[in-house]
Amino acid sequence: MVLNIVLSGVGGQGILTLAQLIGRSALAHDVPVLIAETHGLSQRGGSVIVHVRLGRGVEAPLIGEGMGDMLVSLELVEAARYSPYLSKESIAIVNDKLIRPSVPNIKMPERDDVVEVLRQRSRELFLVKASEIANEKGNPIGGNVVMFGYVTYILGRAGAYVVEEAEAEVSGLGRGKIAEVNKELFKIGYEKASREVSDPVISLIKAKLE
Amino acid sequence: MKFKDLIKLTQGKYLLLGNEAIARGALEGGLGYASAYPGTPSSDILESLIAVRDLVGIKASWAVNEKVAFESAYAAAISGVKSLVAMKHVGLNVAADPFMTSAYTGVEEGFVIVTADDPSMWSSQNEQDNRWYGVHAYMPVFEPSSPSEAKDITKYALEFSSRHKHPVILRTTTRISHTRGPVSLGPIPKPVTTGEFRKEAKYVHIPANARKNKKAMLERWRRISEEANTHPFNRVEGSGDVLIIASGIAYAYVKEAAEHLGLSGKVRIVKLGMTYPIPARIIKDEASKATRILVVEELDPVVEKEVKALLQDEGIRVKVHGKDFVGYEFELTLSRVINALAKFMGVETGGNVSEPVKSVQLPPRPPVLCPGCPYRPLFFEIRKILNQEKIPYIAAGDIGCYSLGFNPPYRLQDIIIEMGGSIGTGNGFGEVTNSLVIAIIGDSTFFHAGIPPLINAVWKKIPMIVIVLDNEITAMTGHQPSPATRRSMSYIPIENVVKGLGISFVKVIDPFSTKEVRNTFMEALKTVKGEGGPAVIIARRRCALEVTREIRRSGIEVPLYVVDEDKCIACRICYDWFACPAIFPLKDGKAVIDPELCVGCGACEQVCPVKAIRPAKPYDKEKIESFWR
Repeated sequence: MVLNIVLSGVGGQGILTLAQLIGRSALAHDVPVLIAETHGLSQRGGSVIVHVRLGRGVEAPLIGEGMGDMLVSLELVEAARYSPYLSKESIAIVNDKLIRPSVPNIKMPERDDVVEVLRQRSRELFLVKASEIANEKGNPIGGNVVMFGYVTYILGRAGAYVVEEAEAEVSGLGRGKIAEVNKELFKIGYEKASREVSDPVISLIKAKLE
Repeated sequence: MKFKDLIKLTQGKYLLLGNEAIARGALEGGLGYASAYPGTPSSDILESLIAVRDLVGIKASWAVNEKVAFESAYAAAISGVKSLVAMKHVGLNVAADPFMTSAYTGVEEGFVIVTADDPSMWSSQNEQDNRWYGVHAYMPVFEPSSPSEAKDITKYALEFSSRHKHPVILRTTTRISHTRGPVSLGPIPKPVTTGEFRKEAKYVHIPANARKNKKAMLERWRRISEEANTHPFNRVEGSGDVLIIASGIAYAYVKEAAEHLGLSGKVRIVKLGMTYPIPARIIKDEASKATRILVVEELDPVVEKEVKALLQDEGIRVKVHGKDFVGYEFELTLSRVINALAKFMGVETGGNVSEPVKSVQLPPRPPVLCPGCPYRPLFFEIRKILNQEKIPYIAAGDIGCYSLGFNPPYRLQDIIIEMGGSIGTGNGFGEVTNSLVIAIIGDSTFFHAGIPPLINAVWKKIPMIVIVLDNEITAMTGHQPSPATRRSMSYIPIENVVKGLGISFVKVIDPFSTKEVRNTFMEALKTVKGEGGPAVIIARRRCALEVTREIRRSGIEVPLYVVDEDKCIACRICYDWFACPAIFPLKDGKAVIDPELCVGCGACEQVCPVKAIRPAKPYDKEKIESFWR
């Protein structure tokens, strides 16, 4: 089986880094992985999607529409944009943050409307104030690390990798004070997930990896 | 682990980007020399090789354009050094001249030409299928189906090229180049990096020699076509009377689609790792056992046409499908291949796409100039001048980050076709229209293809304002050095080149100063209208991504700017006209700066009419500025 994880956000938020953290941890646990990234022109502040596929049956790099098991997004609009990738039995983990595209006179949707769409498109939605937490703790660009902590709780219990492997990856992020903050951010995300994510959700993800 | 950290390892499985896998494969194949010009999705190949060149002892460096990169690597290969040249698909158009003739002369040692195609045009002006170049030039085309196979095929391609003394194409696509997957490492032999050029008449392509070379090339081609049948990356799997021929990455999709539809093992798949020439014997044998054939390939029907031609020649009457089921345009996706295969086999797709529910209107999010981009204040001010002065103009654009100046509010890229096209088309616009021609080109693009058209403009006295956006780096593709990079091998100031052409109006300005931009632009306008000929403005300030990274690495805190809510009058200039992505409107229209995105460049300070924008806390401006200049 294959576990399909759609990662999305705005170019510059550290989505590629998040994908690599997941991918490296999985490979360290000997789980095959393919990560299809977005580079170059589309990366500059634009809408970014990264396809992460884990498991023995992985051949193709891209997730088919309606075949995503997890959506991990660093921004609400970009979560909604890629929600058609989700299957009905999917979960969405989304940074509770709206970033307005830098386009003159653009009309932004209401946060609650976007959240409602995400709720309907997934089996369960988890909102995480990742950017807010990261900013408070002193690393404004560490939202992706909070999200990695959150995802690690789920993927760890589902057997994609173990927490220590993920922690080893986080320890290589940033220097000095920022490195310390990142470790804290990872822990915050992890612990938040441990309080919020139920066993049936874990079993759902686990089944995809078997 | 980074690519560099893996260099001493001779075994084990690691997560590598497809492009890193190609670099690794080349090293394991005994590569001695590599050259390239950056271009998405190819750039990481040479970047990886440069990262390890001193550790392995190879020669690897960026060239000024693809043609020079090609010629350099070709010269190495005909001097007995295994070599590689990498470029994006459109780069091969630039290198097409030496490319075509290199197949005639052949090579002494392995020569792999990597073309990284970009189906769906994620970062390109077109999605040309460069497998045609193989057809065009009598050049074999290798196509990996995964990052892991990319390593193996590159290594094999170098050996193959050495053995046949013939250059080969390695065609990769965005989804191979920029997909990370597990790759098994092998040992890296000690590279040979020097050789000798044996003088032979075959390298002198005057007609008499060229005619002999053509015959010799056809003889090599016959041997290569024969070997396609025993090539280890071409193989047959499964059984049944339906035959699927899958080329390169299409194999990965076909394999999963078949699994998804419960067809695994019930169809026969010919997997092609060498897509041109096709393995005639294999295809003939398999086709004669088949009732129907479907060719699955990305973009053009290259293999499909070859298969149809072969079966016609052989008198095998089986219906061959391909593009009629798969479609011509854009990259393959799993859903697309599942649908095509289901339709072809007459089975249900087993779709589980969630139904559209309550929808919400989502705003578009095109890529934009980064916060701190030195081009923003310049575009902002020129847009303002053009609006105020109501001058009819054509902003002839080019390839680079500044291509994003096409979008509102700047709208300063009226045409973008190819590298160097800004000054190139500017020549024609200057001759046939009455509009002011403003050619906008970056530093790396200027050196790549901007100089000959500028010479032409001087020569013909074409009125044109040329703005060279000099951020001292090839930014869009991930910050490779250009000759304008002060910290690279040897620095070539653009003004020296321009002055050398005899242009009298040459000004170097700081694009962060809107005042300087305005004054210089107005002066250039006067010059162009008066004496005619081109006037050149060089706008020099370093790329914000580079600067921010360096500030963070040196352990200095990046400054932040904030908006004083009491002073802000909600005029919208900073977020709608200056359009910095770090600045947002609040519900009342007042501005606010997002600390996650602000890089503390301070350029917004000057565009605020009421001085409401200021640093969040005092910082050492001189110290920070030293990174930017």
